[in-house]
Amino acid sequence: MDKRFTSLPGWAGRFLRCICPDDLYEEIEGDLIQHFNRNVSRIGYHKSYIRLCLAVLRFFRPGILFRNRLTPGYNSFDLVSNDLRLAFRQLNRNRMFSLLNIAGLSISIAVVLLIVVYTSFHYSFDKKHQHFGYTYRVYERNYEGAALTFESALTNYEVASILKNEYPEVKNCTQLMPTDSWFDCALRFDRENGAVVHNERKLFFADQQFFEIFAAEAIAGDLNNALTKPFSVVLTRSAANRYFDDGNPIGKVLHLKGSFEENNYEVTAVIEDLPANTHLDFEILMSLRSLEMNQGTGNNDFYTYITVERDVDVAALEKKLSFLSVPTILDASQRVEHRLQAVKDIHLYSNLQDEMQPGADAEVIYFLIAIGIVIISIAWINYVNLSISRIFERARQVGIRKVTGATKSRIVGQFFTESVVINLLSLGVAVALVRLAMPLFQELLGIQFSWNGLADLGWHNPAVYILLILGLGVMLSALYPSRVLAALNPIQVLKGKSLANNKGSFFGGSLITFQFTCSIVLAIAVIVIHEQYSFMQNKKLGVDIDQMLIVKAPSDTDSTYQNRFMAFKNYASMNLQVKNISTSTSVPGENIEWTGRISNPLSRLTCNGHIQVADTGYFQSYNIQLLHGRNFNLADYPGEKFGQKTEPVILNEKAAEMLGFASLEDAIDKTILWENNRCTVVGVVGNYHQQPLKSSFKPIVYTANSGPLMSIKLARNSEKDFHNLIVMLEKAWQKFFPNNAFDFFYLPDFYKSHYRAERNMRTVIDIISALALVTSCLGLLGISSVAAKRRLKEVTVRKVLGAGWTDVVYLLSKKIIVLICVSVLIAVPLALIQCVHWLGRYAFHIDLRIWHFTLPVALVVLISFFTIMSQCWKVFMNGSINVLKSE
Amino acid sequence: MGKEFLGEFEELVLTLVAGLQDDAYGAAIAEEIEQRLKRDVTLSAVHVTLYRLEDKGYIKSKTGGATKERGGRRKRIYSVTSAGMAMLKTMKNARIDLWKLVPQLKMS
Repeated sequence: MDKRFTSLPGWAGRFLRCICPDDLYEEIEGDLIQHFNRNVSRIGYHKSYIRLCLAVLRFFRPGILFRNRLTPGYNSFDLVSNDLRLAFRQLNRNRMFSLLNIAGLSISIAVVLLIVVYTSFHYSFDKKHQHFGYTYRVYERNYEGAALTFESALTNYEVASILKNEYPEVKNCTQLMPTDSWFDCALRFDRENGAVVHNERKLFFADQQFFEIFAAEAIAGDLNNALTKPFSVVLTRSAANRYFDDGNPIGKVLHLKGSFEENNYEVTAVIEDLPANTHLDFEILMSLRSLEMNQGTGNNDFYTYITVERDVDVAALEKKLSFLSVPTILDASQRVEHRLQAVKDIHLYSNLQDEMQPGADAEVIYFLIAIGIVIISIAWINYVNLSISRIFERARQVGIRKVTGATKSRIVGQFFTESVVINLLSLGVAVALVRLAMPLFQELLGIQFSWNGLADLGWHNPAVYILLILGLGVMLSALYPSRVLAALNPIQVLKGKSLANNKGSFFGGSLITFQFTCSIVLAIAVIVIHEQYSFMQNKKLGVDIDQMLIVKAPSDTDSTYQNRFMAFKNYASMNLQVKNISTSTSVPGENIEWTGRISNPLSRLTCNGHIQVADTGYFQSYNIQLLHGRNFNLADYPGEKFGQKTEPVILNEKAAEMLGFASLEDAIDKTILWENNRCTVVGVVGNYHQQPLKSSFKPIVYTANSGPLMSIKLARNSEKDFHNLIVMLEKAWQKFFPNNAFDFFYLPDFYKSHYRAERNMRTVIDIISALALVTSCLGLLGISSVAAKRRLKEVTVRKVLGAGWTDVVYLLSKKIIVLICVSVLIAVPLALIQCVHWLGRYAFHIDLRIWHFTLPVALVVLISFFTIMSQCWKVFMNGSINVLKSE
Repeated sequence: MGKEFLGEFEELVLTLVAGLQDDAYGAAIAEEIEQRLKRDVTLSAVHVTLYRLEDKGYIKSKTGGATKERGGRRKRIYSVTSAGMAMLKTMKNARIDLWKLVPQLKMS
């Protein structure tokens, strides 16, 4: 057997041809073959074959590669400009085709860009801090026996010192203590013309290390040692503006009056307001050491952050942390485990109890990304489909070009140029659309952001995505049509033979099916989301929040406070528009921050109960149903100290159920333990939605006392006079409680604000889905119009021979109808799975019904049917004689 | 001859082109280097060097005959230009000049 080559093995030849300049190829190939053949006789076939392969691969080197003409010499410049001219000529000749493509592409690119902007914003959270990659938050997992009861972002105060002393991996550690569980927290600044007082909700106690871990920029004062000394305070710009009109705030003294701390604090620094993209949410930081002095650090009330060295194995550290135990009053059955979470992940992935502010939902972001991908693929598919359906028109042109000497690569190049032109034009329109839509978009999603802020984010930079989209678009949309057309046999084409291309029509068909599947799934999702939201908005809350005005009680509580409070209550009640007034620690719609361990000594069941202080009028003014037992009366209020007597409490249904009482009546007069205090259940009230419907009912324990929030129930027709009423109340307030801020909000508005994020998200999904549907209809319009045009003569002949309108419709639409049916079959189960998954996240949700699926399917089918129909009508109404005469 | 200068391998290839005369093409040069200098050389390195020398104007090429051994592919025969010859000479003289600087050891 002659083991000598007369040419290179296939792959080697192709590889070489790819990398070598044409004029050098023959010589190189010859040398390689000769070399190989001489080697065979010396060292044998296999060895020389391996050497040949290596030798071929070694031609992949700059000295050879750069010998290919890279810079557009005058020749290739000519070619490019010729391609461009051809592309624009094509665009101009088929205005309908170009318009459909550019419209579809620009809409979808605009949507994708908006989604990119939105998701980049959410991924940018907490990436500004110096060591964000090495900063972790310590959180707690609380176990009751083996069962996980709750996870909290807050830890014990002692955790910090233990971490610092016993864990060498921990480089730095800081703690923040929130004050939102305090009943009162007011700041006062005394100046010559009266005092400025505000209730502060975003006031935290922190240590100096905070500024070493988190980024902050001083605009006045010095951040070094700003929180080292006790009784110093750092303000953000907006907080400082509340108290000091102008001039230097440094060194001024603010008086803090809170439930657990009262003292004078000296301003040491003012920092810039926090950016929108951080999970931190504070306006005022006070030095933690001021609390250490009065023993105010006993509670589990601390956000603990640590930074570690670069090379620390965090998983191992977390394992080590599970042995960390802090001296707290724990039952033998209770266990607390400490875990770590990366600060940069908190916003998207953390959903613990006591978060500083609610984060975003990673699933929503993924959903949006998925929609973005779907909508842009729909647009590209349109392009591909339209190009394929126009193969017949283009085939002759390609044939002529080939006959006159165009190579395959020239034809491919031409189609790529066309694709580049269309994609670039669409991108231009899309960027203009984004700029127009941006204000609306920001308002809808409630985000504030700047392009500059995003530009710092490296690969999250939108410009990167724009290039990526453009590149991908050109590649994907030009690849298939150009390959099909370039492979055409010019002789066949020019002879006018039909292009029976079954493979192509299958490809196009599956693309159409994909498009319709996406549109139908989106349409079903829209319907289900709509139903769920209207269900949530119309559901009876179990509590009457109408006409409710909430006023924060004064923080200035001295011995005369109770009397003054009663006096104000009486005074306000005299107004005809005020129906009644009650007080409590939190109001429906608010998250109850105060929790405690409730146990039933009989059933040995415990729960982490939400504690709510309610006065005697609370249940009546909110119209909360008392199911069994009695309401509180004044004698139920605790004495000098809570826990001196057996304190009466009222449970809600859920708490009674979780504590294991046989029935609701059974709970009455039973004794339960709240931490270590003995309490008697005097009543059971119905469940109501304290929180948005996403979460299930929580166990609530009511204890009798007057609380810091005043709920003022207004008469039914008070809206007209609302403003006067507020003015009147504020005047009275200033009389009874001078130097106290009059803080109020209207409860129905507050309640609605909970659903704002979801309502806005719904609007966004509506718009995007509508656009997706429009885009796929644009595609359908294009395809059916091309198909109709191509079969114009056939239809006309049939018409002349007596075919009716229905026959024509059947003829033109039967293929697409089949495709739509297939899409329905794929889309409905897909949508079903998705909807069940999504609804499962809501504690209270609608049941899926058949019409949730049939309606959107019918809608999509109808819309596409009309699209096709309009094209059929056009063909049908065409004058037969003109068509038949035309050739 | 200005600032132009040749690398060691370039000089080698240039010399061989001059030496092999009508038989100076890629594979032959590579073989010659392997046999005479016992030095492993890849074809691609020889080719790249030839092209570079051609760019610099020291050699020129024309297509030559095909043989069966080459699978019928034509050779590209290189020949030294006068500039190349001058370069070779300058380099040789430079070498000799430098060599004269070396103290000659007396071999016993």
